[in-house]
Amino acid sequence: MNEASVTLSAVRRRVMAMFFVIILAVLALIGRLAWLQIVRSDELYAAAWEQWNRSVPARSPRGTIYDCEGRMLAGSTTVDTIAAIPAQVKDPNRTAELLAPLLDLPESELLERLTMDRSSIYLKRKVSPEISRKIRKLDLPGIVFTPEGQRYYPNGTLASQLLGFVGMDEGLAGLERYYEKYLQGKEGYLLFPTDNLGRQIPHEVKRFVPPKEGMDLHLTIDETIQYIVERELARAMIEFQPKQALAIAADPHTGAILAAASKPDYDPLNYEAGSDYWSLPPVTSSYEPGSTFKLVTLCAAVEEGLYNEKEQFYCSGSVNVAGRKINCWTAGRGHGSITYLEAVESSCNPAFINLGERLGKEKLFGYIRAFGYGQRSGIDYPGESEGLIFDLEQVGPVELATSSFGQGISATPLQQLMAVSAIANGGNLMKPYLVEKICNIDGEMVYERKPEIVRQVISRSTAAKVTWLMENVAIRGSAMNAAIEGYRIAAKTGTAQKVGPGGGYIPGEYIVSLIGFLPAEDPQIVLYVAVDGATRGVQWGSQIGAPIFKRIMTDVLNYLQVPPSESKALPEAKPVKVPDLCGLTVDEAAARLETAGLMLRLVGEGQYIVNQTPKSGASVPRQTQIVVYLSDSENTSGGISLPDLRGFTMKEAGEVLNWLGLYLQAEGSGVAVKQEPSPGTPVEPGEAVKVIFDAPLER
Amino acid sequence: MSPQPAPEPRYQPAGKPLQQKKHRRVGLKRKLFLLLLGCFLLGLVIIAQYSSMVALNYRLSQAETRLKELDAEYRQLEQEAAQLSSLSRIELIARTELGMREPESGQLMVLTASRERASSMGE
Repeated sequence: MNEASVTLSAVRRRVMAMFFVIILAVLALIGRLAWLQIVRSDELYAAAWEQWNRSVPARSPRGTIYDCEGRMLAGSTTVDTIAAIPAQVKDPNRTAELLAPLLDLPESELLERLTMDRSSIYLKRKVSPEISRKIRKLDLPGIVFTPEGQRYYPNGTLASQLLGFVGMDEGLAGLERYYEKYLQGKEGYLLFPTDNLGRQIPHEVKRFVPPKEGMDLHLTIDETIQYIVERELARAMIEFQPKQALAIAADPHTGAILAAASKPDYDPLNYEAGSDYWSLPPVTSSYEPGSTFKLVTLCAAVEEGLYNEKEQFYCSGSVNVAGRKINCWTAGRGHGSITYLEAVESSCNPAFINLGERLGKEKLFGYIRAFGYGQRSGIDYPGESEGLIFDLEQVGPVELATSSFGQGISATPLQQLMAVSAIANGGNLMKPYLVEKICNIDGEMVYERKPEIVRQVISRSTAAKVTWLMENVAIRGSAMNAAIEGYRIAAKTGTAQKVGPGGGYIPGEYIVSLIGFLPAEDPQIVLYVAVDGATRGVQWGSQIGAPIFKRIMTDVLNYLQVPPSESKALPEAKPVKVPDLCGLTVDEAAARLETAGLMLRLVGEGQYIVNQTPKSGASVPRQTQIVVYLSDSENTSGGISLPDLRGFTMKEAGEVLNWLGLYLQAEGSGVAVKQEPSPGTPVEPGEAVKVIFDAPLER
Repeated sequence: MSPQPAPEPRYQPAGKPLQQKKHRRVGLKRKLFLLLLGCFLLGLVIIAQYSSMVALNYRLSQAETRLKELDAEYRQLEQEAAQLSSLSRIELIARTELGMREPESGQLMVLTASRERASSMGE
């Protein structure tokens, strides 16, 4: 046999052997592949994912909130979140020591996080750009930076209760919460595999997860009107030192809310510190409305033909209803014989009780419900209160009587605002709203709110008649101090006793209010203001609510460029004579000034008025402030206790100090916010008092 | 006696004349060389393209980072602009730097006119 030659069968055997070896190898490889790809797929994929891929976050900020003129009220920016990759931290002790003061965290807590057995961990989320810069400079191994969206409010506390605030990831209060699903953006990613240097590998499969941009809200709120309202509420907080001051304004024709605020409020960037003020009281709080509610009874009586302004009525100061004596606000004195027009002007309780009795409970409560009381208006704000009114079967003669003039029921400022808006617009109850439209990131409108008429409550002629009656209240009645030169105004004051937790009234605690609209012939804006628990001044709507209303409306009319009313329709501005107030108590003096169109300004402490300026008999324009000095004794000679001047204008403070024989050393402009010496300090005539004036709004 | 089995055929590679074999080997070598050269050139082109794409990708990555920075800067500036135009700041400047103050009562006069008079004046 030739050694070089090989038999065919041997070749076949070898080929077969080789074939089986290859088959086995391939099967082994397939098995291994199946093990990795099927059995351990998820585990290995997760482990390798971060090594293979890099993601570039695509922009997805929270939507912006604008006012009705497109001015930003809330926006988003990007800030860094500081995280650590414990495995890469070289010196945890040193790192914790360096980061602790910057992140304002205990060193031990940081050390614990830096040594955790985790792939990565947050150290502090959303730090300021300055802190981030400082940490970057340290160039610490294992410390990484992740960009995250951060909410900001360029106007600080302005409209804070209305806008709400955002926690770490979502809106927690106000409109930020109500419109969360529209405002919230979803982070998008561009995913791609990278090399060891983190560079994208060409030709490899990319995955793009598109971001969901948050949508922008366009509110009905006007930043300027909101600012004017808040500035004057802040001034009222200084001037009258109440527990709370609130206001809400709307366009009566559409129901669009133009401003809504209360003081005190909170800073949305430091919201934990102001948790008592997160809600928006004009929408979420309800209380007894007092005399402003008489407008509902008046509308019902006019609509039903049960009101005649020339008809005579006698007010003895009280009225007996089912064996219970109900007083007029005049504390027993009574208005005497008056017409029903005068009854409206002077807000006589017995006259309105009489109107309520004429209407009967079915009709009166039918109108109360039709005006929207006792039910939520459906405004786009979380936590709206529905107020409280009697069920018809609960209404007896006393309940009917008290409801006729605004006692025994509770209503929100918003409900009152919308009811008066119905009077202003010719009888239609409008549905209030805060968001006018919602736009996507390209500016395309995805939602638009149209004005919505809930129902027609009263006829156009009734609305016109009630408007005329409200004008008379502002010309000759309790709302005289709210009158604005050059404009026809329709208004009504209210003074309501506060109900305590036990259900009874709290002695000496009132909520004073004023509601009205301007110009009466073509209403552009309706405004409600209320001050709860004032500790300075006279707790009457005419003395506290009216001047706040006037100051807000004067600036708003100027801002909206509303032309003055026709001169022939305006009431003649006659000067009034100052009455003698010396020896009277504050309440007696206030009652004397109520319909005189003068305002009372209290200086000092005590029960009786011992001095006044201007002196009695002086002829002064309406709305002049009569500054009175209070004391418990008749004799005020000798040392003077320095009065509290906070809330006074420079002119007023100068007058008061001059009157006391003191000198004003003024600094700044606006209203008095600080004084030296402090109030109550004994001073001698001839001393100088340093008073600092400023804009009342906090900065 | 049984017949002898036929001998198994043996494997014998076909023989070629030496001269012819040599000639063929030279042709094969040339072809192989050209193939290798082609592969090499093709490889060069692919590598160059790959390298170019890596460089472009690197630039893209840098541009993306820059875009992110500019976006953050834009938002920062937007925030500053909104803060600078806030009404409370404007009022503060008006009062403190420009010395402006609210008019006292009597410093303002409202001019009113009847609509007819106003329209005739307009004409």
